[in-house]
Amino acid sequence: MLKLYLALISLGFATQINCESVPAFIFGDKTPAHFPALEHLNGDEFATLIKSQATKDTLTVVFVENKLSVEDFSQCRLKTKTCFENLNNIERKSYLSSVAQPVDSLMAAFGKQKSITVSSAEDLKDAKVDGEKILFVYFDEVESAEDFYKHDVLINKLYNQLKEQNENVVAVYTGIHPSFTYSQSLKRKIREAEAVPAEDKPVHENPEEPKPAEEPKPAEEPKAVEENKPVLQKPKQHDDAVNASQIVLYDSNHYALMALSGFIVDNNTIDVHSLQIESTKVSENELTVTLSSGSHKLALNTHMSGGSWFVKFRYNDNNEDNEIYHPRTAVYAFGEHFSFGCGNLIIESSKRTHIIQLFGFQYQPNFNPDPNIDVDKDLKFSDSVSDCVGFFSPAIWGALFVVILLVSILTWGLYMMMDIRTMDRFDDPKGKTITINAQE
Amino acid sequence: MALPEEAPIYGPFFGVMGAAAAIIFSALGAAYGTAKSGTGIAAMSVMRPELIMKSIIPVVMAGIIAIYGLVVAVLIAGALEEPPKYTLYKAFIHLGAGLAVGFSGLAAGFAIGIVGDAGVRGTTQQPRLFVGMILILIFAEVLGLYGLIVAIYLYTK
Repeated sequence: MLKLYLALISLGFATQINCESVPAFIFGDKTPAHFPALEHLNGDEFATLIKSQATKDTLTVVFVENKLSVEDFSQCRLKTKTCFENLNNIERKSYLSSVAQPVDSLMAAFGKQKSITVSSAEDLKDAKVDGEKILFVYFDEVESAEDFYKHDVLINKLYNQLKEQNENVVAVYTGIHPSFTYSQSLKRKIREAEAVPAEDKPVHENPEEPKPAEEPKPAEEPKAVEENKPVLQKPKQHDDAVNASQIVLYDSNHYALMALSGFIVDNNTIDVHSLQIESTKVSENELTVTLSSGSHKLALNTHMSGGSWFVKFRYNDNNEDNEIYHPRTAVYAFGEHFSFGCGNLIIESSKRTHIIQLFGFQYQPNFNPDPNIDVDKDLKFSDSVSDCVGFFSPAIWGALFVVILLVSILTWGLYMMMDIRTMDRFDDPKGKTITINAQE
Repeated sequence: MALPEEAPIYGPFFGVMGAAAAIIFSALGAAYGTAKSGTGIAAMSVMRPELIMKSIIPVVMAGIIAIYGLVVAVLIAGALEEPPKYTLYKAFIHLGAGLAVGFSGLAAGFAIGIVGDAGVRGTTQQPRLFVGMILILIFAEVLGLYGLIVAIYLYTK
């Protein structure tokens, strides 16, 4: 069973063309010698490297974060000091800035293994091995710099504790996913994020171990129950409307700002002026924004994780056949104050029975709205928009082409100009005059 | 303020590049024509100073090339506007007009320069070459004129 899950997961990972890579710290008795700074290692090379550090009685302990990136190490700060103080103080350590799928390859490479989940110092008492060569220590999801600091302290404690029990310990600190991805294909990123919570726990758990206590975040009561009046803004009053048929909607809590010029469900055109928008804040990182008109209700569940937000759609609460509604272009953006605008958004149900089309769609969630904002003047989309252009858009190509053309013509012209020679034959006024032939 | 897709914020870049290209490249061609034929005139004037004024003709024709470019550049600059009113279509047309007159003016200027240089030097030795030189210069000049025609025609679209 475990091997089946492992095979499925590695197949899932293997089908991704662009592998995600996480950094890895290696420290302990024998650290690998010298590494070029930005070398990328794939899983097998990494596993071979770790195995080469281990002798017969070496214990390898792998501290695994769910999400870890190079930026976490460099940017994480707690009151001007780095969060990873203990890690910083270790003298002999090696740092690999990009390794592809380290945890899976280590699991595959080592035989007997044990996994524990540590969320506080009490869990460290379970950290004992008998006979296994490798111990995986999983941490909870990181939400802030303090979590990294706590994990750092736990790592230090556990490492010292294991060193007392075993003589040779090699420690690896790495992650499963990077915290930030810059994937080209938007769809792939969203599916990954959905796949992890469902399949993560069964795979990485040893069947004998007790299931780790997973506490889902308690759903808060919707805050503004009394005043959830939807507000509709006419296009001429709001600067952000692109053309006359686009309306800009915002809810009374100011959690969401949305622009829309057409709304069609299964070939039924719904008048955008009849749309109403409401929002509730389900938790610190989750908003639910609902667009409704008559019997049609489209809910955008906006989740924030790792500084970027993404949206999952539900239509009529997914009442019919529990179909999942996926947008053709994944709706997400890189930062808290980014909006998403990609022209027209088409949302399909998983069995292709329903199609919802939103024309001229732009959306910006606001997880922490300013209560004193002046709605008519200041409520606008931010300047940062996540639109669907990649690195080279047609405009950029056009401008580059024009510039290269003009510069090359200029270069040729200048070259011809430099080729002109002036005559210096007559610079000596006292010399005798001579006939000139036409060849000079 | 959100701009429509057909009049994006970078639209004027192409229009302005057209105006710049018009004057830059035609000036480059005129400069080459003037300089090259100027060396010829300086060379031959030592022997036959009375022919100097007749030999100024290539320089004048090179100057006309620059005027073609100036006209088109001023026309384009007069039609430039800010983004919502200045569509990408207009911008591309202006770019095309500017490039048409600029690059053909450059070519014409090169031709005038070389023909003027050789013709002027030859005319000192053989006065019957003068008429032939003028004819060749006219053909070289008319290349720039073709560019101007295309540019004006594009501009009026």
